[in-house]
Amino acid sequence: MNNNLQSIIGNLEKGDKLELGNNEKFSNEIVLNQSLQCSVLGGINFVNLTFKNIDFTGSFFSKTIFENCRFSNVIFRKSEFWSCTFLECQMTESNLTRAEFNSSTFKNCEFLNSNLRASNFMDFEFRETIFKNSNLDLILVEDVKVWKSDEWIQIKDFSSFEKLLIDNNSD
Amino acid sequence: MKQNKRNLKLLNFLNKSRKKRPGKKRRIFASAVLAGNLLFGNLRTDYGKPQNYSNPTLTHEKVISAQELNSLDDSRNSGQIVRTGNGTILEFQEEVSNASSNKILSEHNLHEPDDIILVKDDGILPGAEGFTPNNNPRRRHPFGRPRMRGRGITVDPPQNIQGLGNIPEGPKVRSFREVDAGRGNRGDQCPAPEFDMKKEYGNFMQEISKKGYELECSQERFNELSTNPQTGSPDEKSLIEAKGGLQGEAQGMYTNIRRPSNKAVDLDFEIDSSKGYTHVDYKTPIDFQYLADNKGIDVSNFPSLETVAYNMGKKIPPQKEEFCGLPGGPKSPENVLHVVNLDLIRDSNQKQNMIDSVLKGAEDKSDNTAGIYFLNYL
Repeated sequence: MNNNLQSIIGNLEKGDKLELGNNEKFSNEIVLNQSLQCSVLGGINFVNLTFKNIDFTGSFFSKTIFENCRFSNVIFRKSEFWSCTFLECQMTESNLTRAEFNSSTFKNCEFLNSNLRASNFMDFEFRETIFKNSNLDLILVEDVKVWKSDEWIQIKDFSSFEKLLIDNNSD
Repeated sequence: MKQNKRNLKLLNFLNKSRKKRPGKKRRIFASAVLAGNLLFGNLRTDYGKPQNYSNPTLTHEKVISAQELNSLDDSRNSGQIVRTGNGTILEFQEEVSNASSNKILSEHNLHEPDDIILVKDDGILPGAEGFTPNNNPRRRHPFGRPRMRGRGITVDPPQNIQGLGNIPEGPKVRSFREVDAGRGNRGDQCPAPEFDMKKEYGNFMQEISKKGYELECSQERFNELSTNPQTGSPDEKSLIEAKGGLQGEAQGMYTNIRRPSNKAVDLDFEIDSSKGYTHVDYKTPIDFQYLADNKGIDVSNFPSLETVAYNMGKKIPPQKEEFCGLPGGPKSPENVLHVVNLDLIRDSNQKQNMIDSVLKGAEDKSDNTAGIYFLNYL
């Protein structure tokens, strides 16, 4: 099934939440200026989407794949991600404070000027992902692995996280 | 079929208790649900397969307040109390006749009918000589049993359920660098959601009254609590938190709930509490089955609620530490209360499973389930 996400959002009545869970695929869209708080999305595939000025606060994402997506000023604050995959994605000026990532993966992703303060990562994998000028204060990490030099490195403390994932030379 | 009917009766009883006595605080313990599950053999410990409890060990009791005792005088609620051989107290709903209860007792090798006695005092059972009532203050919490330990219940860790892989105890990474709320916190370009706060307030006050609680809250205070402290505007998520927070206050969990004075302390609320809690954080899990039933959503695309609850419990102990020591923050993890609001979960058995899973997660993580309360657990 291939729908248009913009039209689905446009058809939401006042007070309705975005609730999708039937393996829909959305591609090549630009989604702008939407308040989509407390959305529930499961089994969704987003390919080549641009999200700009979107508020997903308190949303729940499960088995969702974001592939080659651009997020600009997107709010994922207090959102939960379960078994999600981010591939080749870029997040800029985005708010992921207190977001919770469970059993998920970031691969070839880049975070720029984003705020992940007090976010949680549990059973998580990072591959070729970098955080530039982003806030990672108070993050909680459990069972997190980073793919580096053809092997998985278990994150043991914040310094190893910083060394492997944070680009301190950018500004 | 018969078993389902009995469960239905128990649920009806609980619902009836919930609706009556408007204006009075209700106090019914979730243990009644668990006791029902144990009695009727409907407890699921592996989230899928019904277990056969031919010889159950009943370890939960119901302690009632004077207020609830008064309500027992009401013929609609004159449930019978059964003391089992090991001192366990069980309450039967009114519709369960003596004959039925005798049958249940004999089916489960419990004691003879002379163990069926009526409650006549505040949790003390006259005629229950030799049985020492449990004076553990945690079981006599002024607003009802705040937390339950899943004693005697084995909860499978989530990796066996969702194939998430083994989740070993891992290192915790923390950083206490200066708070920088500037990066990625703009949010001002996102459209603000629109709410009819007057309507939200009216609906909430009606709902809280229907649940049988008294709450003094002006429209202005409701608006303040529903405002996201990070953005200064009311929004959906903050509204959900405010409704749970105010219900917690109405139930006497704490007083004077308010949004944190320091934005950097990113917990939901500040509170006053005789138990030493200064901050509270709310968790409100979603009912995926409701979405499946009403929106046609494929529930297999979502984790089980037990998995969600287990991970939630596992994260609570470290989350209690997160903002300690910041100006205006909690002084220690013991000052942080976590409330799991089960209002959206429809099925009582599911609620009970979630309670057990949250506590199991917290216990596995830190051997400590203190400071976790449950709201709307019946």
